[in-house]
Amino acid sequence: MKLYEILFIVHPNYEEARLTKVVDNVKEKITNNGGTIIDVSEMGKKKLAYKIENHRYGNYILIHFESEPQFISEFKKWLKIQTQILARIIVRIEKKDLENDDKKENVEEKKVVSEKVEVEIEEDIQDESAEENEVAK
Amino acid sequence: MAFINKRKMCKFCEEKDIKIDYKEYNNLKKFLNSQGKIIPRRVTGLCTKHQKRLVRAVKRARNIALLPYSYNLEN
Repeated sequence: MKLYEILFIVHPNYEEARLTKVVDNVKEKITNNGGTIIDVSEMGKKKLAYKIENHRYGNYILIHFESEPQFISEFKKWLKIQTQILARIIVRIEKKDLENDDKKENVEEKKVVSEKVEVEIEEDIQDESAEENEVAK
Repeated sequence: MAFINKRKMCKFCEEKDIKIDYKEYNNLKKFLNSQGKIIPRRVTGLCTKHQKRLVRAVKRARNIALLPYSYNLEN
């Protein structure tokens, strides 16, 4: 099993329901052939650097997955047949590439948590001061 | 241009946090000229390792329409 990353462009006029259907189709194709999906992320609707099939915009979808190398050539052929997918690129990645992303996310989460804690402490202080005031009255 | 000093050290060797990734195409734009061509190593001042990675990233980004093959065709 090796790690791969696929970035593909879906037809720009597709609304959310049809878009998720296309993504689910791709995910199913991977899992049915002995692969496992690590994560899926949408890069959103972007302007293309050049026209593809006369479209100026496209929905970018990024999927990290694990699969046997033999499956990839078949997967590429299958992707070419799909008319909703305008362009695609499959890249081998290393484990450390994924780990780096996780680390960044963890750091961000920690920041958020620490902010929350600070807010709670401030609230406590306010409560205490309010109680003291009442006692003084 | 930012690459006047020839003796400058490779930018990616100096700042190791910057990843060369084809998905972060805005970082790669600095290494293209107005036509969209890749600027050569003697001008960018990058080391062999990082220039090679940069070239690979730019070519991948072009393939998936994040960067143009040429700015002239568009207009």
